[in-house]
Amino acid sequence: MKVERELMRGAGPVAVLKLLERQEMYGYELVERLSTQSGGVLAMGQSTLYPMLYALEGKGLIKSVWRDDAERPRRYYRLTDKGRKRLASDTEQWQRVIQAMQALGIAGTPRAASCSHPLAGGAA
Amino acid sequence: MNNEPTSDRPSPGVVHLAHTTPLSDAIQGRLTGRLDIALACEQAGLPPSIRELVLQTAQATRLWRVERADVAHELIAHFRDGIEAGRTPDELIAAFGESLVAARLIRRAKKQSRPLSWKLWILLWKSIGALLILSILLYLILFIRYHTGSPVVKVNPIATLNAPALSIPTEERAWNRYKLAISAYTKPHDDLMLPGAQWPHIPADSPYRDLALATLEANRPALEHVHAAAAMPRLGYILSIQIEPDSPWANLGSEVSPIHDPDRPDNPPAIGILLPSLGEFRKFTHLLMLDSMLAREQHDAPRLARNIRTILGMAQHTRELPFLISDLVAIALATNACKELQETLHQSPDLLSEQDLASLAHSLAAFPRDSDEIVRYASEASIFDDLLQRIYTDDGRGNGRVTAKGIRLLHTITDEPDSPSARNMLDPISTAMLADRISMKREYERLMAEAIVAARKPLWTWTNDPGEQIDASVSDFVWRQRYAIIGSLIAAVGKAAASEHRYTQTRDATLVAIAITLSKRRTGEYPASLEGLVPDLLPAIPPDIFDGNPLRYTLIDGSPVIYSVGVDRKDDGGRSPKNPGSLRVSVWLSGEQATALMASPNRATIDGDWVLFPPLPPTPPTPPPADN
Repeated sequence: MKVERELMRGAGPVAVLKLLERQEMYGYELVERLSTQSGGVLAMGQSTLYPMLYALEGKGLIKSVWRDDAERPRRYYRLTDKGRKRLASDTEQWQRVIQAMQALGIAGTPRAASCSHPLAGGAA
Repeated sequence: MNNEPTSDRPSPGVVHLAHTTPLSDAIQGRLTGRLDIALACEQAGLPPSIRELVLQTAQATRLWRVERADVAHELIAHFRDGIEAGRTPDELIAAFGESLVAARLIRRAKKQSRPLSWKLWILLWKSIGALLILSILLYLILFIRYHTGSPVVKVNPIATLNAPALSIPTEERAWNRYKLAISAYTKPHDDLMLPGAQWPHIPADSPYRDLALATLEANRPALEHVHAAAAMPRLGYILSIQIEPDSPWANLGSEVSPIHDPDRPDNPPAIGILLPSLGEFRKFTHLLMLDSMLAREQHDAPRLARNIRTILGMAQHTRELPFLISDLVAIALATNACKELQETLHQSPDLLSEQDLASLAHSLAAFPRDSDEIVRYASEASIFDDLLQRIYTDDGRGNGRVTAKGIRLLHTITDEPDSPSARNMLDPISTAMLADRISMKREYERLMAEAIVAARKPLWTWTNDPGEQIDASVSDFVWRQRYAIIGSLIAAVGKAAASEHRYTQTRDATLVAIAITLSKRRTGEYPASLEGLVPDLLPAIPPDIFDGNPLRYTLIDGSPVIYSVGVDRKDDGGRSPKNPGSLRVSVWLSGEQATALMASPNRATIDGDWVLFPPLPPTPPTPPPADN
């Protein structure tokens, strides 16, 4: 199930930053990883993803570079220091939101299986 | 599905490559053709539907060519990845979403990434645009405001000023007699007006003497009319803005263009009032001064006394025209009467009878007969108020705004030619800076009131020129923009007040000269001091205007000298400065200015006393104020 656009507007950028935390990725790779790792919840059309990437780059949170992979030019995105700081701040806020949702009974206690979920905000 | 990049298009030429290569690549010596999106799509081997989507999206972003190419290359890479991952073109297109939405979002995001210099440049142009629109709106408001107002003229100042004169029966108006004199007047020969001729006191040995006598004889009939007119109690001059065809100055009509108010032909502006009579009175005074000199030579006391009375009579009549300029001319005429008396007392002390001297002293002391201030400023305010009512609208509470009609009238007054259209267009803006009616009036009244209060104080208490505040305001750029109407109309209060004080000193010295002459006739010698003359021959010893002490009097070689310490405030025992004719010794300066001048090489002009009696040798006359 996809989330509403308004929720996605807040969750999308932090999800992208999180994915780029460990390694650099190119656009299609990010699309796939967002879809698979979030169980399709955070899947987004490329008409949303690419403007989001450009916006994050405009804010200096990520940086892009063209590389040739087997004579295939791809644009790779990686996190900047500023992006790391933003990710840390956003992660903390999301954790507080999740705790509040749990306290309200909106979000259930996460199953152990999802503790290792890369987007859960916990230890990877 | 063949994923290998293919292209049916022939290889692009060098020119096309050069045209589609970014500058950054060209600088590195590479013709990449990276800006050719269509070619890139073809070379990537994308299916036509995806190719169209990429092209459509890239074009729809309306970004710079380099940015569009960048986006297109990324989308090409994206779709190639998708196809390699086994997705069909339809799946990929569906997953991509709305291309126009994408283009709009990409454009917005990409513009955020542009350099700061570009952002500032755009901001600058946006600001200029906004400012331009705002300016146009503001101009339109000002334009409408400027052109929709109309002055409301409630007062007819000329009718008000003429009411007293019109109430005088025609046969009692001295002016009608003066007109006969003006018609009978013969202009002196031009040579007599040369500085060297010393008009009107042409000495007996002067080469100009015969010319002067001929002029005087030619003007005898005119002078008879002048004597008769000056003896009449009221002038009865009807003020007007134009020379009437039957007036003695009809020949001046071509030189004077009347200032009309086009919307009110029967109510012209007071500022346009013509006062040619002032110049005429000065001309007659000069003739009377020449005749007085002859009367002294011929020991003709009655003629001499009559001439002096006539000059004083004209000075009195001049004051019936209630303007500052009239009062200044009246002062000049009365000063000439004093001069004639002083010349007489100096050259022929026994010529005039005691009765004549007493009578003339009373006439002099009683001037002006209206018991008003010697210099009056009220009419200046009336002229200013009249101008305000013609320039501004009237909201009924004393306020109003500038009108186009009013400004056109102002241009007429200031002798500016018909406004070019460009300036007409700018008038709503330039006049927007002008103060509103009530502020303009208050500022005028404030400046005038301060200056007049200061001017009325005794000269020896002055610390600066009474008009200094006015001068300071007028010289201030911002003030001039806001109060431009005042700047050209505010009276030179400081100069007028200084003239008044110099006249009173001259008059007082003349009265003292009459008193010491009468004293000598009674005792056989001039008095050693003035104290003994009070109160029999003098009501009081008049003050020296430069220090407030009693006017100085001394005897040098048995001859009386009446003097003021002058602008250096130093008693030099009645010694004149080296160039007494310059009269700088009698012109007020502040203590600091006088000290500075005394310390400079030009000290000789003021180093001495202002000798009031005996009179200085005659100097060439100055142009009459009425001609200014």
